[in-house]
Amino acid sequence: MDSVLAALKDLFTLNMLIIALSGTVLGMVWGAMPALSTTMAMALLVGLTIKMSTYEAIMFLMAIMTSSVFGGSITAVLINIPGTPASIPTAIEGYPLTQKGEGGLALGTAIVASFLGNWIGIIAVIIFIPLIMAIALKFGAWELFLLAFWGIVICGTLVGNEKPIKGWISGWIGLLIAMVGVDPINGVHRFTFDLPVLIDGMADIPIIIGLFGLAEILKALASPPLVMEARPVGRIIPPFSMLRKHTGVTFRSGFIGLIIGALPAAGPNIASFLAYIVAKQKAKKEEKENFGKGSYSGLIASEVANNACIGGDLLPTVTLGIPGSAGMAILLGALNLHAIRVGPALEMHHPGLIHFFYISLIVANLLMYAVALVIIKPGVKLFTMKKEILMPIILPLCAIGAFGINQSVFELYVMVGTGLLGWALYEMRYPLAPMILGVILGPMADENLRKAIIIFQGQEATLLTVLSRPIGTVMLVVIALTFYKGLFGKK
Amino acid sequence: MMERTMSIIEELKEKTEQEVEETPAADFFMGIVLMILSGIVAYVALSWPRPSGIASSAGLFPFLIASSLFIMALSIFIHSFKRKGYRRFVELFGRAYLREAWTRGNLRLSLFSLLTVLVYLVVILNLLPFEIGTFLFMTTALYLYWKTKIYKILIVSACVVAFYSLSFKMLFKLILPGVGM
Repeated sequence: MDSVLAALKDLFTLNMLIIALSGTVLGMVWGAMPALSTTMAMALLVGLTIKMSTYEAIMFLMAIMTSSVFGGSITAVLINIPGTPASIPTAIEGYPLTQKGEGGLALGTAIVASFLGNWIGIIAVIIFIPLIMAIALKFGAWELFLLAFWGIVICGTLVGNEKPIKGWISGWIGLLIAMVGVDPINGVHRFTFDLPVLIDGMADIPIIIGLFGLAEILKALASPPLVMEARPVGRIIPPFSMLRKHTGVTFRSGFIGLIIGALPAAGPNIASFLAYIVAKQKAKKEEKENFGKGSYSGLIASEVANNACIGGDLLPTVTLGIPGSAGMAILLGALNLHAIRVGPALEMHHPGLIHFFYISLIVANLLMYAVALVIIKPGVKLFTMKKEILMPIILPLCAIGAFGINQSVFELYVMVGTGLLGWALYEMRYPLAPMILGVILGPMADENLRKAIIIFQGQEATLLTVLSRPIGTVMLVVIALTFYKGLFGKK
Repeated sequence: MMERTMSIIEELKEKTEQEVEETPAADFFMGIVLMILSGIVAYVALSWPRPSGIASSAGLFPFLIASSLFIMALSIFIHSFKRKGYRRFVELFGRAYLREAWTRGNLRLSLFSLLTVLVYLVVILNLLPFEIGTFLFMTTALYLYWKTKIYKILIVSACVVAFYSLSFKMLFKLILPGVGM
């Protein structure tokens, strides 16, 4: 109870509320603009958290994440161009409604669906975080190594989609990048080339900004321009009867979003598509005919799922230190900057921080709802800004964010290098999310593998002793199944 | 309009789902690069000190990663080889392909974008203060990409630079890149 009160005390300061509000507005505007994704918003704006306190940084990033996931649906509904990939199903159903003159109502429904989706995520987070942490406290070095390794493997399998090997290669490259610097056990210099700047290893944030900021800018500048035309918005608030009619879709999609979110790096994009497909399959005959022509059911499914996913993403991130999405990997990077190592022992090392995560999600959700209602109508002009104008404006943000970490030009070059690498890999159809997971989880995997071997050697353990550890053995089976699914699963 | 927007959605869908797309030339190239890289890493990792056996070796994990990466690289290399990746790779440097890519504009646009970004990040920020360098970059980039009246470009560039400089320095207390930071 004391930690809840302490978290609340930190929340109700003017500074914190300004930070929460600015995070919400920035996130929503960012998410609404086509070609700017949630991950990119997190990657570029994380630079602003350097001088913030830990609580302020968490509040700022949670506000950005929550509102940018919703923001993508604004342009999806109004101009048929999804602000983020997670809003594609929203565009498929929302834009036909706009053409019928129901654009405002479709947007209002999307706002309420996102709000409810976030609540489903918040409730799950409050219930499951303590449970998962209690289990995770039983993990030893061996289990922690397997967990980090599985995080990268499953991420590669999921985002590599039909070519998981490309996802794994991307993750493995990230692991190699993470090996640069002084080895944590013996102090051996690994891949430092006698350069003092490499002794501490490569900082996460410039790599993240390079992969999700600079590479995205290069992609957008090198692609043909989008045609955008704004339409009038009209009435926004949806009638209660309509929401009641879609209770089943709401809960089902929320559940899908949670489960997908809890899988490493399987973020809102997969969740919204899956929930949309399931909603279509489960719809009654007359509703099914509306799909593709403006179905509120499809719209709600997509929005509830991609927002519930945020809570799901937070579960493995906070309890195990395994990012639930690329955005959460950035949150971990920001927490590393503040010397916070998330994981099972988080509550012991930083009492009250978990409660602050809950509270920040609730505040971000409430602010998202309020800000969405206020800025949608006046913001339509801004949301349709061309990417040819946006990208040159955003590029200096990459430089500021990367440089700001250590005030070092070297970090700027790291960002440029990883940006070019990210762009080249994207052009060759390699997903980038596993690489970030590799960079973040690499040190954890390396340290725990070696600790585990030292412990096993000390105990003179045989293969049978290692396999008699139930959690570790279950995880080994899960890893083997993940590889099997990736290699031989249904394409 | 509807057709155009639907095609954009289709394109986005395609990118999001990372649908199967055979890229034999890229796989051929990446296969070779990754095999060389992982081979070097594995060799270097083996040479690191091992004070008390394998468990204490700093090279254990990098060696495991590099050797498994080598196997994966070999796998995509063989896959691309079966699909004549080497031939497609050589074709990429052929005069006919380059001329077509240049005429269609995608190669030109990609190289131009790359050059703009690199000049700003690597050259301008090493020669000029943030505000002046960013103003020059933004004015040039907006002139080239936006193609609107110059006074509009100058106003937008000046406003954005002023906003960045004031908000980051005053509000977020950050040091900005560039000479004389």
